[in-house]
Amino acid sequence: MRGEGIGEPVVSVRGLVHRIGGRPILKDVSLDLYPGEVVGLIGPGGSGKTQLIRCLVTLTWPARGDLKLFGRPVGLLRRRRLRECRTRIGLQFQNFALFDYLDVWNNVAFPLLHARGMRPDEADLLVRSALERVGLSGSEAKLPSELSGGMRRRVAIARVMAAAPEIAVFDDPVAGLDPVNSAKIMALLRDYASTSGSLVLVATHDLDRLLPITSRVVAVFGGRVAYDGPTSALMTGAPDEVRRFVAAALSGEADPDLDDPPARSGRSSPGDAAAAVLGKSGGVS
Amino acid sequence: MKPLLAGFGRELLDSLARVGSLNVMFYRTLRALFPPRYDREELFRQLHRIGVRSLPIVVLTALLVGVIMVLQSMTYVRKTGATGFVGAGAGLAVLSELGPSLIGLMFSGRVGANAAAELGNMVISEQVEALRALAIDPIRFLVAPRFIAIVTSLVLLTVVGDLCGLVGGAMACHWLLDIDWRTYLAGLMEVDLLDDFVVGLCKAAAFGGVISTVSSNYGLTVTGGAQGVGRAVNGCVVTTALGIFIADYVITWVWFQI
Repeated sequence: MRGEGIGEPVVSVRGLVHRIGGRPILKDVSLDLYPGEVVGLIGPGGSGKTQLIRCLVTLTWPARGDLKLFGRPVGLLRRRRLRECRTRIGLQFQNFALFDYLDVWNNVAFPLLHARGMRPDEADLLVRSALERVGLSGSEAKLPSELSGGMRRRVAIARVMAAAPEIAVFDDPVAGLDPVNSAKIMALLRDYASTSGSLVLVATHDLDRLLPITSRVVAVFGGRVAYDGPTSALMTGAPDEVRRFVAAALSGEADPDLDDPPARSGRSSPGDAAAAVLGKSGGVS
Repeated sequence: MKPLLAGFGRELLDSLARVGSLNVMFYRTLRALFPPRYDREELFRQLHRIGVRSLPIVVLTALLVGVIMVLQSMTYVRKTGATGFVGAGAGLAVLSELGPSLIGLMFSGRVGANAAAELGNMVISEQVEALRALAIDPIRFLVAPRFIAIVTSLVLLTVVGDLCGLVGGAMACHWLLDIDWRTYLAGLMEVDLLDDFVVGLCKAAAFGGVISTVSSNYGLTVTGGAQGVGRAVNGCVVTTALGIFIADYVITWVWFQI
């Protein structure tokens, strides 16, 4: 599907197959992702979202398929070029992946100091601004062990934002956050995409907050891309299993066919909930 | 019989795979040392944590080694009255063999196990993956500073340990054997201990290399969560001890050949 972003795709995948221990996790995945898009990556737990993200950011090498980043085939890149590619990508890990022995400031500054080669005084403004955006001003000197789970998640998000990568990937950015902070973080991701022109890829089960900020949704079911299209057409153009998943996710009702039902959001009717949320969506591109 | 053989074969293959992986780790660490572009802050952090904080335990170990060496010789010294040999015997044993080996083993228990656990924890909490995602080589960033810190610290601590071992021997002579410390010192001066001191330092450097390589390898190959970290620490301690004895044997053998 051609996204609403501009220019050539920054991520292009063709026929991606990934296996873990011989078990196929991703099956023939093809995607093009464009700069300036906010793309929602949805699907039930264990459907392959995280593995797809790991392949896209070159942390895992697929068994088969072609991956192009910034127009270059990754498989043919020399080590130095691959490193250059990686410095242009930011990933917020599902489990935060903050460095235990570094305080908040140093965690957020880490990509700037060590991957970009900035001096601490050059990085300071970017770090403080990113921390302010995620609502963590004043926590610079704290260690990750002194923070709550939600605060650690926001530090991980700030680490990505401070580096302003051309591809920003957020794996479950609002899990464990309270509703106010969830809404703030999602708005932040939307603003980030619109101001930076970067591709923002967000994987989450919280569709209630995800769909209003995305222009496009990629639904992964059983390792395959079941739907790749505009958010606005999700409830009309997506296959039945995706529609049922989205409706159940938005209403907070467990779909009996799903092994990992999303969190309840307190809505009553699946159809009404989907219509209400999709009515708010429109993307940012 | 068949399951027994299969189990033996599996263990053998695992051990061979581990030896191969240790060699690759050692090679990659040496490559990461040149050009020296590792993080200085991380290097100083490791030097302080590994070197400075190990000083008390090394001093205590070395003092006791010196005392024990003198006590071991007590029976023969009293029987033969060869008090002049106590210093020479203790000096040879402490400088060339027991000092570096025991300090190395103590160091591996304290520093090696700690490094394996720390790196293992970084693996399971995806911190190592985060480094890779940021285009930072974990070997250059995490392993190379530890390698330098461990080797440098162990060599310097062995110098301190040698001195403490000899002082411990003198104290034992004076207080436990009623031998004048000047007799002990004269015995020490009679033999040329410089060679033994140098071979002891070579051993310390090699043991440092073994401790760093084994602990980094076990730490960075952790799988299976917290249980995996426990297994890695266990494997690291056993393999490091074995590696220290093998390196000790090889260096001693080479030393006697030249």
